[in-house]
Amino acid sequence: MLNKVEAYFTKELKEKAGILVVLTLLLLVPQYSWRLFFLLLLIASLLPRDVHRGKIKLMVSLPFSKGDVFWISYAFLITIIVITQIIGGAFFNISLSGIGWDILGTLIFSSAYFGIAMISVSLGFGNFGIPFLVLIADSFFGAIGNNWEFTYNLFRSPSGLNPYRMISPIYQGNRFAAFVFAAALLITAYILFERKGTSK
Amino acid sequence: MIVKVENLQKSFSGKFVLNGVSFDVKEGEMFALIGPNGAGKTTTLRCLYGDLTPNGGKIELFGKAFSSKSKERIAVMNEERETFRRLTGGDYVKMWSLLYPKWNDKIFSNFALHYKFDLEQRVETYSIGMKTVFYVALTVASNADVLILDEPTQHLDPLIRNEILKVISNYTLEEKKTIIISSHEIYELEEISTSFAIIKEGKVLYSDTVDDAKASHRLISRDEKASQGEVIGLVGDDTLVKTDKDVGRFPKFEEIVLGYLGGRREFIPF
Repeated sequence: MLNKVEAYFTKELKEKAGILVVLTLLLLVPQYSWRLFFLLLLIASLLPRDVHRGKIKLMVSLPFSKGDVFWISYAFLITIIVITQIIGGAFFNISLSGIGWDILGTLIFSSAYFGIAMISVSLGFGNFGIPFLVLIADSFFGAIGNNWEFTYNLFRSPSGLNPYRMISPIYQGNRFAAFVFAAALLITAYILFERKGTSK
Repeated sequence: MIVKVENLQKSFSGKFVLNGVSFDVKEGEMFALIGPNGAGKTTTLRCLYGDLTPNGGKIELFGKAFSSKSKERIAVMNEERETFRRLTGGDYVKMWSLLYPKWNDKIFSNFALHYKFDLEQRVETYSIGMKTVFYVALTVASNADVLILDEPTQHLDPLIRNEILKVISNYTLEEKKTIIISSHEIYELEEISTSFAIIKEGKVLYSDTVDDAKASHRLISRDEKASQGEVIGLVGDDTLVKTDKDVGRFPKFEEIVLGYLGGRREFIPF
């Protein structure tokens, strides 16, 4: 398995060197909303782009199963995120526990949106457009019940609690619930990717 | 059986491309999947190595249902000779040597020296013929138990084509490995294949060993009565029949293929 991981990582680093360097630098930006946008770009440029462009055939003709490709690509994403978060944290003098908490939040977001992007391409849609629309919807519906006064008054539940905000990959009102929701999206994406096939 | 395919079905957007394909491949065989363009050869091969998920049917590899573990024992050359955009020849060699446990560097070096591969160059920039030879080199050096080669002699000049046919033939004869080859170059298949399946419109019309196929068919002239056998199709001015009677003459391999593919239809444009 380690050989597969090495082969896949090498291939990704060589094939996507340019965009990976640019996005890795941009991920060092401390501002949360921009970082989420750059994360979405990074996610869309990995496996979802390969599937969307029909390039996955090449990997599957090698001794990679679709499951291998899915999970190793996910591991690649996580690796980049963790490395950039640690570097960024050190650069901006964030405490160790702060970095850990940040990484956890970013991992939940990335897992959810990797799942969404993979669901999108497995169903024949784009690798960026649909996830971007979901991001906008997520930021809108997650904001209800909190900062936006008009929607607060219009939509808030009697208790004042917005249940979506709890699981929202952006807001993560409840980290555990958001984690479970992200994991569900990721597993759904994996099942769809396995079942629907990958090639045009 | 090293490969067993039973009643394989595959459709794209409701249109059936494979409609009950079945065949067996024994260990050490050079098995040819023969058919015209669009017959379903490539789709069958893609189902075999897990690129496509069949809608129905069964695929067994090495006596077990298809699994990702068995993929380490299969090396594939795809029809389009698609490559990773930025990987050099050297990157490919590193990747394949990581992925195939029985990778043989010496075999690959022999290919590289003979065909003068530039391993610093991006494979995408190789000529199409060079890409084909490069893929043959990778698959043979992988030492995999089964090679799946989709149109392995396409885009090659006659001299190199001859060399490559000899190489892959020796892979089965000397290394005792199995090769599944897809081609519509029926004239060259007789030299190398030991068994075959003729596929047309997503169905296998006939499958056999080359020797048994020749022994069980006859070509008779149209004047002769074909009452003692099953009429398969027309081959030029003759009729191909399946019979064990001693009539007409034994057909060549390509005549058997043409008989099955052409059927009883005759094309007379004037």
